[in-house]
Amino acid sequence: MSAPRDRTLDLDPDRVGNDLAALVLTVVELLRQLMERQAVRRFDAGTLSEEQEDRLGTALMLLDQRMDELCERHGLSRSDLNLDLGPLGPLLADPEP
Amino acid sequence: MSTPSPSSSLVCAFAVTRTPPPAGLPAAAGHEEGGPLRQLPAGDLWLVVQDVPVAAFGEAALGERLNRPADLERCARAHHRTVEAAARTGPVVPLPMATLYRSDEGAVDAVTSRAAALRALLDRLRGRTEWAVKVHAAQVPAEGAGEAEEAGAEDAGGSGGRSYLSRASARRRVRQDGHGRAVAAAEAVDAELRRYAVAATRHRPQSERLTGRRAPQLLNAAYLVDDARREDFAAALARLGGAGGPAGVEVGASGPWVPYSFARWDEEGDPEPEREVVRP
Repeated sequence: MSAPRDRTLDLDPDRVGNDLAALVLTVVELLRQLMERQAVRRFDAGTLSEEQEDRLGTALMLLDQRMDELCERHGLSRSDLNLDLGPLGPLLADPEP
Repeated sequence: MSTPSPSSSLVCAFAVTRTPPPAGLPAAAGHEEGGPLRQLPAGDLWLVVQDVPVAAFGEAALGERLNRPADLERCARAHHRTVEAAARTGPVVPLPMATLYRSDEGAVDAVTSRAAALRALLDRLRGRTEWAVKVHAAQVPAEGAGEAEEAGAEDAGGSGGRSYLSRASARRRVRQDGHGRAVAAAEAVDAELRRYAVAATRHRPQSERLTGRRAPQLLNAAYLVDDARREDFAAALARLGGAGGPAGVEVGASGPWVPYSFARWDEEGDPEPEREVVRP
């Protein structure tokens, strides 16, 4: 909209590092949600064997726990990871359309 | 009446009216940085304007200021105060915030060249006000998800991985059902309110960051209500927002407003009349 607002540019190294971590975690969380959604779909459809269900579920569960740990380490909550895409709505849309 | 603005100032236009308010305009209205409000005749219409300094309202300076939430808010409030003052004596067509012209002549030309559309709009808005209605999904505490998780864990009974999937599945179902019901409820609210309105329009739902709620906004609508039906509309609102209203949603309303959402004077109309007020 206007010229870059150089006076408000924040180059505090800690802050930049944390923002980067948040961005990376956002991408990881997006992928995690997509995988979980897909896995749940196949689980509901009953197309997985018991062993497959167990392996898939365990992997997702561990990933979920790991996300909690990573978020905690960076002082973030899951909802902090969401990005507002304006007219497209939030990036991590929990209620599926 | 019109002193051609020297190059150090611009003409900021607020609203178009049929007649000049008899008592003049309050000195307190207008932008703080600008001079007193003036009224310009434009054919058989009148235009409420104010001289504002280029230093604060030039393209670069204004862009910079509107990027700061506090300045944007001050600017919006000044605009709204002025439009409201002009609306006290009759219908107005409010202009978009920070509608700027280089000179009185430019402002008057803009009005006279659209005089027919503006007159039609003034007739349409006479004796009518705007009501803003926002419907949010009810903020469910985390218990809902917890119950589903427990229920899922019980019937899964299998090892960790499978029960995790079954919990995730239950969680998703609960959420989808709830969301579907809330959307349907929001649609029902809209349909009911339209019965008492002359016109209705929907704006893009505001983001959760803007609303400060943890629940999505499902409906962000504006209704143009005739003064004669205002009580009916208010009664419908009270019904919908009260205990007997649709479950799963919260209905919030504000009004009466100057009908900003229904006063587009560019024939095409702007498909996105509402700007979000928070910028990163």
